[in-house]
Amino acid sequence: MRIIKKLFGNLHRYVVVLLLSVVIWAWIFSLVTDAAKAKKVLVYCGAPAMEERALGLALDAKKPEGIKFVKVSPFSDAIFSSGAPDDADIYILSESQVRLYSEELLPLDEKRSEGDIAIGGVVYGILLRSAETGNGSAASFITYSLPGFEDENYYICFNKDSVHVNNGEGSDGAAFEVAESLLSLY
Amino acid sequence: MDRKTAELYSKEELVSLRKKKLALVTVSAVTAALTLAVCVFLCTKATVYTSGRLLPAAIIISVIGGWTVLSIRIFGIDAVNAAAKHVSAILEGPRERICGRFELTDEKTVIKKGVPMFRVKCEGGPHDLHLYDKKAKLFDERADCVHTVYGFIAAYEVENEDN
Repeated sequence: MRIIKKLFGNLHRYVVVLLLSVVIWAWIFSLVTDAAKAKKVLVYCGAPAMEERALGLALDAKKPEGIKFVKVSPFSDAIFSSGAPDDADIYILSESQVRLYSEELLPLDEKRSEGDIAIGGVVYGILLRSAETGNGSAASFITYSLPGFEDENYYICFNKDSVHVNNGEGSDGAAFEVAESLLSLY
Repeated sequence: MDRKTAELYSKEELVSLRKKKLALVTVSAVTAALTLAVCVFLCTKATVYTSGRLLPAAIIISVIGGWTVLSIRIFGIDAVNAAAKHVSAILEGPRERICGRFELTDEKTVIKKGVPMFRVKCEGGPHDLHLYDKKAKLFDERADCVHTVYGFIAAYEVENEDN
């Protein structure tokens, strides 16, 4: 009885230990695992479904020099309004999404292939998956077509404000290297 | 008839309590160091892809380790420390001899720092006295005189029946 009384008398200390453990370790882990924009490449994928962890690990295994990690996250139209994709370097977008968000995308110098998407003569995306043939890169990681979703072409696009796209001082072009890795995945 | 004085406290007891405290502090420190080492190890293994599994593990280990250290402190170190301070105060404090009839009651009180005491009624004497609960079994209610320090019974006198 005395032990229980003592335990309840010190309950606040146990709660403090619990809260401190959560706050301190979450903070330390975020410090250890996160990196500055210049040290990470973020990929947002707008396909209906994907194995984001497996895809991330596959891209991370081939990450460019000087990059701490490559991370893949799902893209939804809603997050554009939240500003979250401002951090993104690469987008995997359907044709309709490219047309919708073209203002946010980096205009590319030239087409790599005939399938690449151009709007008003400006190239915005590299063909990743063709709806016509059903063939596409990284198909073992990304589900491009699902019942209930329109079957569309998918493209690799780049954030015009990314620090990894050779569009300003300090840019390293790492986003293009990751895009090449993405295109080489099965 | 001879009288015998039975001492309830000894220096050996104080030494034993201090050793116990040192052992508990050591166990507590080792637990804290191990907890920290495991958490730091998990932290070094964390990447953006593994942190989802490693962070909850680190938090759980940290909480269990923290609670263990806290429990050792609350239920072990603090109690032993208080007992050692009490024993030390009794051994070093000024003694007073009180005679009368003594009755050990069931009434329990906890003095400062959480040392539990039984109340001892003194009939014919001026005081109500306290007896450390761990000494209750040693106390002989036939005692007609007790030695007290700050109101705590440190020794008692009885007629020596051996003679």
